[in-house]
Parts: sequence; structure tokens; C-alpha cells
Amino acid sequence: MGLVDEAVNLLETELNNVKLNIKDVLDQVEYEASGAVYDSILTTKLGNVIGWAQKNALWPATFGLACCAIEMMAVANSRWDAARFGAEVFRASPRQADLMIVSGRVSQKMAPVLTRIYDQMPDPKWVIAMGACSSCGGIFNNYAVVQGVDRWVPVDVYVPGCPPGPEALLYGIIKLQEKIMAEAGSDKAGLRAA
Amino acid sequence: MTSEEILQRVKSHRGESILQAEVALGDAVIHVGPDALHDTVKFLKDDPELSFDYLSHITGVDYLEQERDLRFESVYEFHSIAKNHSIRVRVALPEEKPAVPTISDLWPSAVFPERELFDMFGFHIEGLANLKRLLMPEEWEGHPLRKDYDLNWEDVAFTYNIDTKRELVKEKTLSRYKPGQD
Repeated sequence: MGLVDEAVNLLETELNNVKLNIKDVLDQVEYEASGAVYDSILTTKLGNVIGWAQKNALWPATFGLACCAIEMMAVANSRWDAARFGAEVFRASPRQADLMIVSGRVSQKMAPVLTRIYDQMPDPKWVIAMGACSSCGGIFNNYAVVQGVDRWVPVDVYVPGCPPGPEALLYGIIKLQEKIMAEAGSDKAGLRAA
Repeated sequence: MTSEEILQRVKSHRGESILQAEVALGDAVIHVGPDALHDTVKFLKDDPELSFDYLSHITGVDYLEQERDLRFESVYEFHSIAKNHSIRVRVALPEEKPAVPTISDLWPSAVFPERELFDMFGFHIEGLANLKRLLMPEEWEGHPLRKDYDLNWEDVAFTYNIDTKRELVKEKTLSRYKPGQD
């Protein structure tokens, strides 16, 4: 075998590598470009608008379970005024609400009721577990109380405290608003609305 | 009537069915067997001298790991509104098959406490038509106020068992609400 053949073989290998590299780069560019077009023009902008509308009109279901409900009611009063964040309209019907504030310990017998109320709420919907009891059972580590409402419904924001003050719940609502905006326009938001 | 006088009257009329009678911290207490319960409390209600017309409450006791022949006790408190005196009736029950007759035909208000006895202690209330759980969900297993029922319901999630709660949540909630499944 001569030196010429060896040189030709090497050259062919190099050419192949360069071709593959160029193809990779092109695929990458195409992928990024397609995503940019899809996200920026169609869904993201509209999704942001929808998310903005949703986060500023969180209507909680009127659903008080225990002592945390007193603090939840205080949030709607003039002193803390959840209306500043668009979350003051406590609806008496779950069909008009999109936020469930689980305010208090959930007993084993209450859990199916809570799940039914959650199921009756229209999509998209969010859940705030308010206080230690609804987050993890709190001090009630016994047969009567559900050890965290996240066993029954998917929880978005946990507000710690026993009970958390109104300002803590407001902070939880603000955190939920941030979450809604962060999800806006993404696949997750689409799944919620489905 | 004082507690001593109450006991005297009950003993003189139903002495054969009373296993034991004492004044405990000023309260009249009688011990009867499950078979004699209904007859005894009927006498307590109907006797004009005693006229126990009000059932204060019914409760149960679990004497697990104590020096007693019979593990359980069903306790009835009666009060006379007219005479303003009270009596306590204790019925000891065996561990294997704790069964006590209902007194809801004499005091209709006994239905709920007796259902609670069944719910919390597992006593079989003989003659009670609607013997279902009162407080716990109907498909619940076990009787929570028995001493050998677990006090702690679930391991608390700490750093050493950090996955415990996550697994439970995954198993319960995510199976029910999988995002976008419908």
C-alpha cells in the first residue's frame, strides 16, 4: 500500500467528520429556531397574557376547615386586603373558584369531601396548603387526621405556620402568582387548562 | 338522695344482679354483668325514689396490661333531673368477644354513644339496629381508642427518611391526578 492511498483514506475520514459536524450544527440551529418561532410568536405571548389574567384574578373557594380559616378570613379584610392581589372574591360555589386554600387540618372523613370540591372546580385550578396541619398533619400525628393534604390533591404552594398569619398567606398567594407567571405559555400551563 | 342512700335502695331491690357497689370520690358506682345491665337500668329509670330520667353519657375503658380479669368496661352515667342525684354503672367485658346489650329502647339518646362505643372500642352492641361506625369512615379498620392501637399514625418525615413522604404522595395523589391524562 502506497503513501497516496493512506493519504486518501485519511482525507475521506476527515471529510466525513466535517460533514457530520455541519449536520449537527444545522440540526441544532433548526431546532432552536423552530422553538423560538413557536414560543415567541404563537404561544408564549398569548400564554403570558392568559397567565397574567389568571394570576390577577385568583378566586378562592370558601372553604374553611379550622383555626387557619380565621387567618384566611383576615386576609380578605381591609387591613391585609387580598384585593390588592386580586384574590379577595371568595366564591361560595367551587364551580366559580380556581384556588382552593386548604385552611386547617383535614380529618379522614373530610378528605373525600375536599377531593370532591377540588374535582368540582373548573380547570385551571391551584391549591394552597395553609398551615402545618394541611401541609404534613402538624401536631396531629394520629388516626383522625390526614397526614398532609397532598395525599389527596396536588398542592402548589405550602404556607408553613401554626397558624400562618395573614401576611404569610398573602406571601403564599404572591408565590403562587409567580408560579403562574413562570408556567405561563409552557406545556405545564397547557396541561392545567386541559 | 345521697350516694349511700342510692346504693342502699338499688341493693335492696336488685341486690342479686349487683356484683359490687361502692362510693368512689362521692359518686355512687355499681358494677353489673352484661346480662343484668338492661334490667338494672330499667329499674333505675322506673323506680319513683331514684327516677334516673337522664342519660348523661356512655363511655368505654380499656384496661390493657392491668391486673384485671376482664379487659374492657362499658360505663354509663345517669342523672335524675327531678331528684338531682347521679349514679354510675360499670359493665366489665371480656377481651375475646366484648358484647353489651343496648339501652337505646329506654333512652333513645343512647344510640349515638353506643355506636361510638362500637366505633372506638369495638364493643358489639346487642339489639342496636343501626350498628355502624359513628365517627370514623365506614371502611375503617381497627378501633382507635383501644390501647393497642398505634398512637403514631405515620412516621414523621425527617432527614433520615426523606423519601417517605414523597413516596406516599406519589402513590396516592399522582395516581389520581396525573397531569393531562384526561
